Amino acid sequence: MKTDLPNVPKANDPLDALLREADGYVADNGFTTRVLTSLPARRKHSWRRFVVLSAAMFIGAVLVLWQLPAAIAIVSTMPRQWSAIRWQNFVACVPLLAALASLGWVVFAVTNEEE
Amino acid sequence: MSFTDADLIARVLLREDHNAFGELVRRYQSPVRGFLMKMTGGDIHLADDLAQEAFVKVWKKLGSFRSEAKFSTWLFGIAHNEWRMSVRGRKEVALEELADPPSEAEQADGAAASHLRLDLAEAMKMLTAAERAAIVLCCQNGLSHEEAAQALDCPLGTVKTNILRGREKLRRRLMI
Repeated sequence: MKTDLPNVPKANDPLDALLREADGYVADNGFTTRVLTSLPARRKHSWRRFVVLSAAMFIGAVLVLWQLPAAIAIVSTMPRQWSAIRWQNFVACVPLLAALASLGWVVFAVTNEEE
Repeated sequence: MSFTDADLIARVLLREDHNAFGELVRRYQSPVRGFLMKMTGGDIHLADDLAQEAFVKVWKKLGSFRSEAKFSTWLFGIAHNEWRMSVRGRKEVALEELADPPSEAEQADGAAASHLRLDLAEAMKMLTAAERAAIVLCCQNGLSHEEAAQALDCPLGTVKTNILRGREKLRRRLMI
C-alpha cells in the first residue's frame, strides 16, 4: 500500500479538479501582523533557574544518600517485627520522602520547561 | 534566498527571531485558515481566531517539535485541536457528530435535494467533521493518509474510510 506517499489527485477525476479549484489562496490581509503582535515572550533558560534546580537536585541527592541506609533498615524490619514498629519509625522516613519529592519536582520542572 | 522550514524553526529557537516566525506564518496562513474555514462551515472570523490561537501555540511549543514529522503536519494537528476545543467549548456540535455519519433523515434529505447541483462549499457542509477534515487535508492540502492520521490523531484506517465515504457523498451530492 502506498499510504505514506503524498496524496496525488487523479488528473482526470472531476471531483479532484473541483477540490483543487476550490482550494484558493487565502489572502493574508494583515493576519501575519496580528499573529506577530500577539506573541508572548518565549521563556528563556535563565541562570537563576539553572542554579535553583541544580541546588535542589544536589540537596535532594545528599538527603537521599544520607537517609537511605536508615530507611532500608526500617523497611527490612517491617515484615519480621510488625508489632514493634512505631510511628517514630515512619517519621524517620520523612526526610527521605521529602528528598525524593524534591528530586521529583526537579525532574518535573525540567521536563515541563517548554510548556 | 529562501529558507527551509527547518532553517526558520532553528532561527526562532536560537534567536527568538520574529521575522523567521513571521515567514513561517506567511507560508502557512493560507492552508491553515482555509482548513479552519472549512471546518467552521465558512465562519471566517472564527476560523481566523482559531488560526491565530494555533500559531501562538506553535510559537510556545516550537521547542517540542520533533522533525520526524513535517512541520505542516504538526501545524495542521495543532489547528485541528484548536477547532476541536472550540467545538467542545461552545457545545454547538455534539461530540458524536465528530465521528458518526449523518442520520437517515439527513441522508433522505440529501437524496431529495440531489437533483440540485450544489456547489462544493455547500456539499462539504453535508459531510461529517471527520470526513471534511480528512478530505481537506488529503485532497486539498496534499497530505498523505499517514500524515493526515497523525494530524487528526486517529488511526490510518479511519482516515481512509472517511476519505472514501466523503468522496462518495460529494460525488452523489454534486452529481459527478
